[in-house]
Amino acid sequence: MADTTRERGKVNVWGVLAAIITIAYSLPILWLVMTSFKSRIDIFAVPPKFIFRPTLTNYIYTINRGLFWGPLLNSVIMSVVSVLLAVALTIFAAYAISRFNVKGSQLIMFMVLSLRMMPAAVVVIPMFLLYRLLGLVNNYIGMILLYAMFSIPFSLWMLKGFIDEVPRQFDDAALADGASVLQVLRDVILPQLGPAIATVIIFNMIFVWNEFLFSYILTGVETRTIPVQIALGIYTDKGVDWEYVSALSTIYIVPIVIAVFALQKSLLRGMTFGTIRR
Amino acid sequence: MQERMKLPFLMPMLIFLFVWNILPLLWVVGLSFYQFSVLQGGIPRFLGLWNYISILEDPYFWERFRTTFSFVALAVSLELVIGFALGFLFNQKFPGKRIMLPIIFAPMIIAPVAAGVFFRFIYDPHWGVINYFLTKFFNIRLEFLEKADLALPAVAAVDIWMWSPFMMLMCLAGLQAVPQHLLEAAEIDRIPWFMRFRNIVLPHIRPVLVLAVLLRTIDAFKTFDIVFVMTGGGPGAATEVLPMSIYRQAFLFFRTGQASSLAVIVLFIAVAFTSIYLMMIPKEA
Repeated sequence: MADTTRERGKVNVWGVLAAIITIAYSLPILWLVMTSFKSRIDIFAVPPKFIFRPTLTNYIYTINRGLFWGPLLNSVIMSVVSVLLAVALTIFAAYAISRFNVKGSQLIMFMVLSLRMMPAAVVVIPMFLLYRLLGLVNNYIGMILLYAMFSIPFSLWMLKGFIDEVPRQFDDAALADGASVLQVLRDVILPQLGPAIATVIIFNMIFVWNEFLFSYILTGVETRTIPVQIALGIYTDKGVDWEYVSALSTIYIVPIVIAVFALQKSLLRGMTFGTIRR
Repeated sequence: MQERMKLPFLMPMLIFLFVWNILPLLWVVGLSFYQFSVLQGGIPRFLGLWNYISILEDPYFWERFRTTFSFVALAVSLELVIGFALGFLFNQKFPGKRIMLPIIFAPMIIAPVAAGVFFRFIYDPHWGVINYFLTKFFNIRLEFLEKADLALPAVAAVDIWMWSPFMMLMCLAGLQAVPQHLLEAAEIDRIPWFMRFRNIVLPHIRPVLVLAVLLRTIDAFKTFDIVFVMTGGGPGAATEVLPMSIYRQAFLFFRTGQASSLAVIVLFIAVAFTSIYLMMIPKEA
């Protein structure tokens, strides 16, 4: 009896500490969201206002300032289409590497991972020259193909890991029954990979959604994505436009924060390219 | 028999990767041997290794390597310490964890651009929150992003805020692999906590932590977005880490050839890190 109360007291100490840290940790995001609901006077108030009358002025202003729906739509289209393309391409390759005896599969996996690990700045110069040559600068198809490429390494590592976990006996049984490899992939593997593929897609979409450098160098006004619009939209002739930046950033991070809750279980696996499988 | 599907399955992805990735990489390696400027165009002049020699002989570029190293060392070491502490805290049993964890993990997948831009507001010398409290309690005002010696730590702080949760995540994963019965047995035997930590906990979490540190090192080495929106590499070149330097050389000064050779050097470092990472992946993770 005495022991349980002591246990309970202990539990609360850790819990309270964790709660305080959680709140402290979310302060920058909280401050961003609060700022986006403040009037211009409240944003620049000294001392800073922690309690204020919330207003939607910044959002209305942000939507009407121009270049809002365009970049938003571009971000959505590019992240969805490119990731679906990359995952569709990669499922076959991941299956082949997982199941067949592919010569140089180690090398492929290594090269693909290296592509992921290298700084974007390394390839941005030739990408720019290549796209200028092909006339793909400020072009939807160019950006979608670029982001599809960008999504392949992560997809390959994750999908190969997930397919490795599906027992081979399933394949063998289906093959013995006379199914073709394509049928095995469609009817045996894919149904078991549903949640895994969803995870891979969400992760990739976040990466594309957040990508900045390529979009900054290779897009124009028509194909610009939100991160570029945030970076460029700060400056106006009045100086730094915090009303705009705070509202646009808040809109921009909402889908991501929702995604964290959805991804909670696979966060570890995703953040390590599937090298840690728990 | 099904082996004949090998090529049709693999080829589309490989061709795609070749055109969109290997080809540009070969191109950048090629460019690195030439004097060429996107701005002037014209016929590139072959220089051989001259671009590399001029980079390695220029103290300016050595300074960039040092800046990058300081940034990575500062960010990753603090992330490890903070992440470790958070990992131990969240390994305890308490209610509400399911709500707290995603909140702490959120900064890790927030766009660096959004985080960077917003921290500029928080750091602002006139209406930033931090300076408000600094002025109020210590009567000082710090121009975080305008002073050469403060800018790099200030930018690193954003990286630390974003990525300590990642270390925490890895630490939690490692801690779950620690056999509980060993810990309990040690506690019964009244073995002091630091001995328990060193002999039971550490051996079990070390492989995961090595991976965590490597991954973070690789990622911090890539840092561009935060620097770009917060300081643009300045003041002067105080926060000009290598990716930022490549960008500046290529797209502000239009020294395309020289920027390419710097890119190739950076590429080699990244590939070296990747091979170390692959060697460190535990077989039974």
